[in-house]
Amino acid sequence: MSESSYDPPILIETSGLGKAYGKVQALNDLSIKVPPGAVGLLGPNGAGKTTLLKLLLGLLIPTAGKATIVGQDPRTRRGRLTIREHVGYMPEGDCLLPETTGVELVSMLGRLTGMKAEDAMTRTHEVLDYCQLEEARYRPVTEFSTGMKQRLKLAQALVHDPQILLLDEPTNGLDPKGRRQMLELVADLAQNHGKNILLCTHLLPDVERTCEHVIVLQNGGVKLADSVAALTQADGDRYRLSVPRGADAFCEALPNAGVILESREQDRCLVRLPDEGQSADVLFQIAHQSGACLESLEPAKSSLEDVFLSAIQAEGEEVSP
Amino acid sequence: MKATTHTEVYRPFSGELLEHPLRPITLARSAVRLGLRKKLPAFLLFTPAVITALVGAIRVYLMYSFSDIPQGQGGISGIQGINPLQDILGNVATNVVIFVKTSAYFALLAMTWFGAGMIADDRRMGANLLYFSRPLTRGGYLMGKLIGLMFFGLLTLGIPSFVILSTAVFSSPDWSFLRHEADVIWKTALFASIWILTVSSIVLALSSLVNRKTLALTLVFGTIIVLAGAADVAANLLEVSELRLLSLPYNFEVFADWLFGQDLNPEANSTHSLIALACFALGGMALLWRNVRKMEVVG
Repeated sequence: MSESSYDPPILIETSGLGKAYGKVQALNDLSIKVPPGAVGLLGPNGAGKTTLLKLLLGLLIPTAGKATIVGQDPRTRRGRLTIREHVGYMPEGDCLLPETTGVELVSMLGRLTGMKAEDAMTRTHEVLDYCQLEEARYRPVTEFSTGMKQRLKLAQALVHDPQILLLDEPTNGLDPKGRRQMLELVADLAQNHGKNILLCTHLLPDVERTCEHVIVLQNGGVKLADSVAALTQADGDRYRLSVPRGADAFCEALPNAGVILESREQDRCLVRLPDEGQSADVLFQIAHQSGACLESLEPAKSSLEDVFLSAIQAEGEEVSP
Repeated sequence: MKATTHTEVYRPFSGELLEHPLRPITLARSAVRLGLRKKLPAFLLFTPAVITALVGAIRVYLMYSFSDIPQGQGGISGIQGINPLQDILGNVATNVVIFVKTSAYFALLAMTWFGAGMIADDRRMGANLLYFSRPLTRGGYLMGKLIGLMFFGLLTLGIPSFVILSTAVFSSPDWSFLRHEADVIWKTALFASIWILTVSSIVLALSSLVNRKTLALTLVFGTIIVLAGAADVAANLLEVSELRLLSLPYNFEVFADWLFGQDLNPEANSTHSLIALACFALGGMALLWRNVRKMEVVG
């Protein structure tokens, strides 16, 4: 399982994928290519993220188009079964059977995947240790906190060492500490253990922290798909400045030199130079001429939040920053 | 403070997946383990079956012990048409049938209790997402649940029947029960198998309709008891005896009487009852298959 011969450049591909629940179109003509590595699937609630994950696993039948994952078509029985051997799925909901213990649940699911009894039990203890549930492994899941339940769901997804992990809102309902622990695990799996992760969330910092690529969904379609680095790279003509003294005069002098003041909060300013690639020396000259003190100057980067909001702003959707 | 241990690193799995794992057995084992986790219901439900088995076995044993069987009468000679052993064996067989039929109703209680939550709880918790994100087919899921529930049927009907029959065999002089009443053994096995299979399919089918065990329990008892009562009342009021075919216990009574060669109710028709039982079992399986399909493909 760990040494799979399958190593494609594109792990998941959809083409014209559509899914309707009655009159509600959850996914509409979705065509995406998901590269290997950690990929964030972002979108406001109802964007179709969970629907996409279920379609990839064959838990839903598309109404249009097709998808492939690990080279298999989930619409076929053989494809579904192969996909489920190679993919670990962490559902969003609290789907743990209440009377089972952590060990029982994870080892049973390992055996259902096809592991031998001894392998499943050994592996169960390993993944429970990895997910920091070693002390709770024999407790019924009813006694688990939300964070423990989320980590248990991650453990069951990992038990057969899949090459792809589909994680549906893994930080849902977690406190800051639990969220940090979960994100550390996800980042570790992606960065140090070569797991291909499709992280489905509406929390931008989660993606920013763990993913290399991002796909933004909205109303069942793709709004944006690129690498996080490309999306958040520094703009050549925008700078963040700190002007602790003479800020008013500095800001008044900016238009005379053609510099646009985009925003100002007390002594912090965001400015845009008239020409891309123009040297920032002009800002020092303006500061000198206006008698202002320029304490810091750095190229302005768009945060993922900025990119996300601008991508979906046209539709006026609410998102969770 | 929790100590960080050396084990908190991710280790790749170096083993291999089995080509044909027995997934239904894994699922069945899990269902049985969960069912037996609560000790009090298990104790209350298994105790009547144990008592029935013990009383039945002791009664059968005593029937041999206190009977006046002449030495060397292990083989039935039929001297002058009077054969004490033949009579005793016949009485023993009748008693075995009575105890098996009694055990069947305790088995119904136990199977309803243990089976009602098997699918309803999965639906309530959404555990089907965990199961079907594995390479588990709906047939495998269905088989796993059926095997799990049939195991409880085996415990509450199969084992008591086996104990009583074993006592009859081992207590009889010169294995005479085995030699002359062997048909009781296979007929008991057949009756128990059909009972367990039919009840399992009905209980699981009704469990797959709802999201809570309590609802499933109500539904099963309601369906079996209310339907039986309504069928009986309607049959009496309308003087249409065929309406009794809607009653599961009635059909099993007729089936048992026909199978064990006992006196049939003059209004009863064993063929109709067999068809009715087949309809119950197949209808349950069809409903179960449909609902499990909806659980695999969730929308």
